[in-house]
Parts: sequence; C-alpha cells; structure tokens
Amino acid sequence: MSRRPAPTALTEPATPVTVDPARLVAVCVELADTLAADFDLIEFLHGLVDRCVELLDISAVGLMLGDGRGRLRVMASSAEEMRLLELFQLKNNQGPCLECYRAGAAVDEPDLAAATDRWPLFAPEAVRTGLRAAHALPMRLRTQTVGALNLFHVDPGGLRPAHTQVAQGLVDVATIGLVQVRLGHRGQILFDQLRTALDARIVVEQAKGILAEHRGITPAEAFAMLRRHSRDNSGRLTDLAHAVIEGAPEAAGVLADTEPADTEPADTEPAHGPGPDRSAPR
Amino acid sequence: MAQVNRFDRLFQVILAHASESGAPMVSVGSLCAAAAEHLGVSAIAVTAPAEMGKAQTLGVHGELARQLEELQVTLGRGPSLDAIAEGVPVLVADLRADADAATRWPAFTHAALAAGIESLYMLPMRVGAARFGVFAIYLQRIAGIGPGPLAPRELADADVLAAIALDILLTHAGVLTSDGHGDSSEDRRFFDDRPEIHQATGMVSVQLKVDLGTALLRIRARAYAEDRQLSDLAADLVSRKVRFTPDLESEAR
Repeated sequence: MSRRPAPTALTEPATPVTVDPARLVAVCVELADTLAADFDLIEFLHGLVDRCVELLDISAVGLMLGDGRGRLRVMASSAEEMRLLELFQLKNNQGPCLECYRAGAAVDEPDLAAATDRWPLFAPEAVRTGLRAAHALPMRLRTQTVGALNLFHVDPGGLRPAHTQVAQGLVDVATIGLVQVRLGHRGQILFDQLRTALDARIVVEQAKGILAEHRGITPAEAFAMLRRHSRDNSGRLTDLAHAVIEGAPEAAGVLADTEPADTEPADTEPAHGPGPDRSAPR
Repeated sequence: MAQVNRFDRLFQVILAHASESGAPMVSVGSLCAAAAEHLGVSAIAVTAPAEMGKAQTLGVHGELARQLEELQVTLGRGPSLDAIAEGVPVLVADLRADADAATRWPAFTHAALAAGIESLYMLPMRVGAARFGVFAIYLQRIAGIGPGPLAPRELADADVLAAIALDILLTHAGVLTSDGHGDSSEDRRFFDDRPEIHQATGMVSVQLKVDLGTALLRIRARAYAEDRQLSDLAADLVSRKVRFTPDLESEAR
C-alpha cells in the first residue's frame, strides 16, 4: 500500500470532533430524496460512504450487502485498500463486518492490535494497512439484517460513540431503500433492488470490456465514454451497457470510430479505482 | 441469519445426497436429482442456451423434464427459452389457469398440460449479461395427486439451488467432489466479484467473437489449465499482457 503513488488511501481525520448539525440535516434530506423510484442503488451506496467520510471522524469505511443467497458482497468503500480489506474478510471468513452481519448487532473493536485472538488473520492485516479501531454497524430492515457498514480509524479508540451513532442513523435511512421484493402481476417475482443493482454493475463492467476491446482503450476510458454518451443522450447507463453488449443501434455512437477516444482521466470510478482524493480538505 | 444459512444449508443437502448415492462427485445432473428430492418435484432440467452451440441439456432429473426442454427447442417457443432470453424468472403456479401461457406458448402449454404439468418455474442462470442456461422445474400432478405450487420459501430454495448449479458449471471441470473438497464450501461463500473478471469477459468475447458466457468459460478454463487465480488472469487480460486469439491459443505479448 505504501508503494502506491496515489493520494493517501486513508483519510487523516482533520474533521472537527463534533458533527456539524446543519450539514447532517442536509445530508439526511438528500438521502431521503434519493430514495425515490428509479434511483441508482449502486451510486446511492457510494454516496452514503462518501457522506460518512465527509461528516464523521473516521479514516475508512466499507459497505457490504447480502445478495439474498447467503453471500456477502462488497458494495462500496472509501478507497481501493479498503475494498481489498473488505474482500480479505470475506475470503478468510472472519472480521467485524461478518460478525456484525451474522449477529445483526454492532461489533466494536477499539484496538485491532490486541484482537489477534478474535480475528487471527484479519486483525494483523488491518493493522498492517494502518487501521487500529473498527466498528461495524448492521443494516437492518424489520427483522432482517441485509448488510453491514464497517468503520475504521487509524487511532486505537478513535471511533467515538457520537460518530458511530450518527453513522447508524445514516445507515437506517439508507436501509429503507433496500431490499423490496415485490410480487408483480401473475405472481412473477421481480428481482429485489439489490440483485438488480448487482446485476447492473456486472453488465456495465462487461460492456466496458467490450467497448475497450473494440476501441483499443482501457476499461476506465470506456467507462468515461459510456457515461458521457448516456448523459448526452439522456439515457441510463445500464441501458446503454445492454445495447453495447447486444450490438443494438443505440450503441452505434459509442462503438463507431466517429467518437474520439477520451484522453482525459475517467470520471469518478465507483468503488474500483482509488477514486477522488478524499484526504483532508486543503 | 436465515440468509446466511440458506446457501450453506442447501450446499450440504447437495453434498449429502451425492455421498449417500455413492457418487464421488457432484455434477449438474446429481444436483438436479438432489434438488428434485429436496423440493418434492419429479422433473428438473438444466439447459444451456442455443448461443453456446446447440441448446443442450446439461443435467436432468426425470425423462419428462428432458422431453419438455427439447420440445421447446423444437417449437422455438417456451417458458425456459423466455427465461434464458429475458434473463428474468418465468414462474407459473397454475398452468391451466394461466391465459398468458396459452398465448405465449400455445403448443408447449397444450403438450405440458397433457403430460400433467400443473406448475413450472424457470430460473435463468447468468452472470450479468453472460447467459449459461436455465434451471427448469416442472411440477406434475396426475389425477389431482402431486405437489402443489412451490411456496415462497421453496422458491427461495430453488433460487439458491440454481445458483449452486451455476457455480458447478463455472468451476473447473464442472464438478465438485462429494465430500466438498476441490472447492471448499468456504470458497463458495466468497464470490470473487472483481470488476476485472467481468471486463475481461467482455474483452475476450470480442477477441474470440463468442457470447459472454462462452468467453467466461474460456477464461476460467485457461486459468485452471495454467493453475492461476482467475483474478490474476483477468488482470493480465485487462492490461493486455494476455490476449485470446480465435484459434484458442492465448498469446503472451
């Protein structure tokens, strides 16, 4: 991780000790607003992660959701290293996020350096990446735990209750928008929003690969092209991705050589790349 | 807790069924048999989509299931074809009363009802837009005797069983030893969902001029043959260190 030339993956918590109430209200209203029909779940979850980093005194945050088949997926994280650490929990089947998800209750560990009994593989790995405190919050909908939000701090004991409580509040607002299984006409069960969103994300990745190969560009450049094209044509990204995959007429514009390959850096790449610089405001 | 346990629970059901029947390995076919027993139905089939060559039955329990799947291929119309094409489940709890079914698949519906099929559940097996087939469940009732439509909990189980079937299709050699080794249950709980894998799938589909499903199978086969992690090979494909060429040799640049 220290070899990366990119900006510091973990934020130096330069935010004030107290949470700004006006900003918090604004964020809650914004979150509630986005819970309208047709919203983009993946983008929303990334937004939630960003808000946590912005509002709270935390160093890193990761969000996992259950896919409805008993498997947890990493949905959003504040930096690439965080995403890898979340994946590490899943691969080794241990860690605060997993415990929290299974128990449906918050899991607190003020000092990961002293937690090798608790998580013999995860605790040293987290410490190696510079994280000392962990706090996982359940995302609960009625009686179901649908996921977990993992907060981290570089200082032992650095996750203060005032901040974790605010995070729980944000998470509760967010969870309302998740997992709605609807029985439609003729008993056709429509996929719940999460599955649809997971699906959509994979479709976008597949379309990026197809476009990248056709145009001789990187997937990141392909993503920028797809986003720009769908915005310019007031369409949805996932619809354009499907069109690219099927070779449909709507995709002719992005696939043809009439559009120059984007030479600028890609727009915000959700979750996968290092993302915009989230270190302390300068 | 139910969500976390459902996958593991059904995985153990599949393994137990295989070892009880003395089979050394779990194949898609034995999964169909285990699933049929678990759900209390007589006919289950897993069919690959036509774009992967010809539509073929990858696993089946009950000759009736095979016949119904093949009939749809012959007719060119049917619920499992719709499920594959549209990528959403096709669920019909009461085939006799379903006016839509009679309109969408008239010949198939007529034949299925004549064979005593009262309910059917077609679950597509896919990864994004990469299609691998359909998990087709048929419920037969003769003279009013037989299972009623699947309850929501049973349908949720069927959904997971279809996911396990897809897992088996996608793992190297397409089999799993019946004591669960070769691909441990823990590995299955960890779903390596890195974006590079899906990006590489798209790239290889263009390189080989095949559908996404075939592309992913080729990538997995190559990773297995070279004893590499799938994610490592995917990273090399994305960075263009490796390309697939249509004669199926991958070149290192």
